Amino acid sequence: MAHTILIVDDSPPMRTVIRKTIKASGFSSSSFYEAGDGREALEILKKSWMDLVVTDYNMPDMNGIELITAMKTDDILQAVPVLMITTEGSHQRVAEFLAAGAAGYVKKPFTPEEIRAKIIEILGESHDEDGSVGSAAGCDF
Amino acid sequence: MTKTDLSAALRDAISSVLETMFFSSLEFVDKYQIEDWRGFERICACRLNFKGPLCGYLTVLTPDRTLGVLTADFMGLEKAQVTVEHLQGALSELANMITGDVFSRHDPEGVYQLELPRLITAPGEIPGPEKPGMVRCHVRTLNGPVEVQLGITNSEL
Repeated sequence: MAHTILIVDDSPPMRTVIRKTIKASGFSSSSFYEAGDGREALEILKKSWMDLVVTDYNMPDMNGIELITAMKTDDILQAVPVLMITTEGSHQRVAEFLAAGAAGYVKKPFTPEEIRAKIIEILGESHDEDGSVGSAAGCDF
Repeated sequence: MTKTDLSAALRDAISSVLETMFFSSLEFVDKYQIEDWRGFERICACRLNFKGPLCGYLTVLTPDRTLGVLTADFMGLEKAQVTVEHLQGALSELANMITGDVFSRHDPEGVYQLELPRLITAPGEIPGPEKPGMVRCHVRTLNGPVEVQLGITNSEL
């Protein structure tokens, strides 16, 4: 099943790395949208349905927690799972992410295996168009 | 907290970020070696300030040619496809990830606020010789040197 995934990060290179990592992890048939901060992400979310939002925490205009909080107050968007991918690694900060409603958390630096395992935990097993089960092993950027 | 503890956390963070995200092998050298930097015309630098139980800054310096290879490997691009924006973004992410990883290792209970990384263009802003309160790591990669400087401004190391 092809998924629609929104990647939110203020760094364009990091958005590229996350998109390529997800595609190489068995989600190559998924469609990807990108936003540079939480505010831009909300605009996209109001126009297009997403199966998953993957967001950074530290962004200049509306951070990751503020984005989740805004989504949780919306009757429709509250159903969209959010995966945090961030450099923030303190126990308290991770607890804040999960308390705000994040479905999962991956710390940078990350491996494709970590991304794949967390997305499968949230969305279910990945299958690419040829029916093969996705594997992060031997991923080719 | 000792300088040795922080230095060990910084080394581990640099190894983790460069090996995992930039697919770069590396070795640490004990002292700044001028010959490592010879032959490179331009040095790129990025500084990130942080606040928390410890306050200070982290600066990453590397020659532009080294950064070009690191950026291509980071983004999965051919070197010819790398743009200036890619270089700036990759260097910012390098500083961001190393800073976050240092404190995850050194002080996982502490909450740190990382400011947005900024590129340093004025040579005067780049810290020179080692100062009190600073930990420096000199790294050799296959494509050139990387230096990381971690300065603590609210506590004595």
